[in-house]
Amino acid sequence: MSITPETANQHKNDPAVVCCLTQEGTIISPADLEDPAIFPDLEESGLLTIPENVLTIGQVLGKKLVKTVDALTPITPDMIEGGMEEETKPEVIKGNGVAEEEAVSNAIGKGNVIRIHIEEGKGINLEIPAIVTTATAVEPAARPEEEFRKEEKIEDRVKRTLLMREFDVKEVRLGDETSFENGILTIRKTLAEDALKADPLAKKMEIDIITPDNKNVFTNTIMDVIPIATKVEGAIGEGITHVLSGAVVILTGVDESGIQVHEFGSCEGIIGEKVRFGRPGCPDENDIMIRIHVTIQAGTGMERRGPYAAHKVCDAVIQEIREVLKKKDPSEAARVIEYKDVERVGRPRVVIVKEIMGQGAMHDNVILPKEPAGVLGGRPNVDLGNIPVVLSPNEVRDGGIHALTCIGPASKENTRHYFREPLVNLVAEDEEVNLVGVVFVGSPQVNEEKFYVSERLGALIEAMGVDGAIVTTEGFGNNHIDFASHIEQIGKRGIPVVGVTYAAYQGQLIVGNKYMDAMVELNKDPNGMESEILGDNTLTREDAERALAMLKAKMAGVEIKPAPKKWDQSVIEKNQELIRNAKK
Amino acid sequence: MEINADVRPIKGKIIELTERDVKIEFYGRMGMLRVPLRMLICGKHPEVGDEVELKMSYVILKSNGR
Repeated sequence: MSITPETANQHKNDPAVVCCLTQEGTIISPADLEDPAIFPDLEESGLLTIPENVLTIGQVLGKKLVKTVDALTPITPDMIEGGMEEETKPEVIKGNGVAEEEAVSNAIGKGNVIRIHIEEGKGINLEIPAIVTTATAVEPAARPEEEFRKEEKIEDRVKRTLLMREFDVKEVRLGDETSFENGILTIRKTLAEDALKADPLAKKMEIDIITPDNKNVFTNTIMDVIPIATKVEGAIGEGITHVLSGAVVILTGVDESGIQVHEFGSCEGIIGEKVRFGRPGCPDENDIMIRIHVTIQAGTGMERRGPYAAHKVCDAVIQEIREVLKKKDPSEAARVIEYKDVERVGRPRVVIVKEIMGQGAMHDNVILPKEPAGVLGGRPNVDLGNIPVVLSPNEVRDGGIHALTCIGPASKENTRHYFREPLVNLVAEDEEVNLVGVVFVGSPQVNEEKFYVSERLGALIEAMGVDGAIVTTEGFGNNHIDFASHIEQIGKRGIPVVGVTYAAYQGQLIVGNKYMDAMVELNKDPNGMESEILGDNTLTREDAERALAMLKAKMAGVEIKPAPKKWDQSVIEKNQELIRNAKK
Repeated sequence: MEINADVRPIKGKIIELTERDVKIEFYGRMGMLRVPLRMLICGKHPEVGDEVELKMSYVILKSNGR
């Protein structure tokens, strides 16, 4: 297969290999060359061995071949008329070893070029500081202009402020009345019975407390991890919220015949082994876990209404705690955190797209409930036709998403994940970009519906007039079809886009397109598998840093090295190392 | 002994469908498979009786359990 001039240009630094029998005297054109994208396969099958002195595509184009060569022969200097002159011999430049899945290369932004010219030499090692290659790539280009306009600096505009007062929980007890005094949270025992009134499909509830020093207890499948938070003033995303820290609700469930509600990807077992403590969506190592175990009507675990009932009755328990928490005196708060939705004037407009599940049953999320991380008053994305819905960063951080979450445990994003979403927090805090909003788009079951919502997403992003986008999805399966389509819809509008997902071995991408050239892998399992440990392969702060650095690089016009054909965890580690060095 | 358990296309039909998953019976009464809807790729809403295809090999016992 020959290649086009466009492909040749993309791969000008890759080895030149003739695709077919090529006659002596031929002036080498792209049509004579093989596509470097398939070299790994050819090398693996033994059809191709690339020698060290191979010339690059950029070096051979327009040169005359001095001998007839067979198909799939790498071009070396002896095959070219006049050989290759000394100064144009390929030099091995060892930078930071940026061979990336998703990497940032050693070029930098437009109008901000490092030129390295080597007249002659051997064994040259060039070390370029990582800072040049990653996050700050945009910065140097912007600086002179900033200085130039110092006097007319425009202030950032704060759109809304959310005050979050955190109250520390030292102990949780079951008792006669729900109260929260001196750090001791008491939950009314009889609430387990009363809460069932919220949905007749819920037949039984048990509440117990798991303390951090006693994680050696059996748990049924963890359906969700839910923070306890309540509005004191204003709507979700603004005003004042009270939140408990040091204690979190975990919802577990079975049906009356004993079948786990999340039969697929269930993580039942010893809780200390089945939870990756400290992940954004999980309990932290020292959190007290308030376990609410719900038994739903037999057989309803495979319908939408069953899992939804479990979430509703669990929310009824949390609501009684919320009523007490609302009345707490602000002076008792251990910490006050201020979140601002800021329009960073003059900075690149960036959007985060979060693809959430919408295939039905527990593949659903409640959007914008009345109470933070609550259920009531919210709209399930399945009922909204999975159409994209825009939330402000503050709405996300104030519990604007209640996740019903299903498979698999390692990759699902629990309600607490959205409450502490690391990517939203990072991009919102970053002063180099202007986060304009977070778009939630559901993933329907049928392909036709997937493309319908994806096209609407493309139109929405176009109308938002953004300079960059990060698309994330949770888990794997047919949701990767719309994930790829979302990236295409954004990419084809000329907007730099970065994709973030778990894929690795078990969740390998099944579709792709040319806009998927900047991808961040969320896998943390050594074998690249769904590890059945809650939250194991979900998005963390480190993943978010890689994604944002990659987006900045892409927006700055930096070339991104193609990913290797197969998942390779070392690439991720190298990229992470780059970020760590850049931060030093 | 070297077993050449190649992956090959297997057909079957949907015999059960819920809002969560589908159950598939392989043709020739060669067993059943239940997968979450997310693992089913479809151009229309699935129905009982629809034909499906996947690629699989024979199943090989690898080791003792725990």
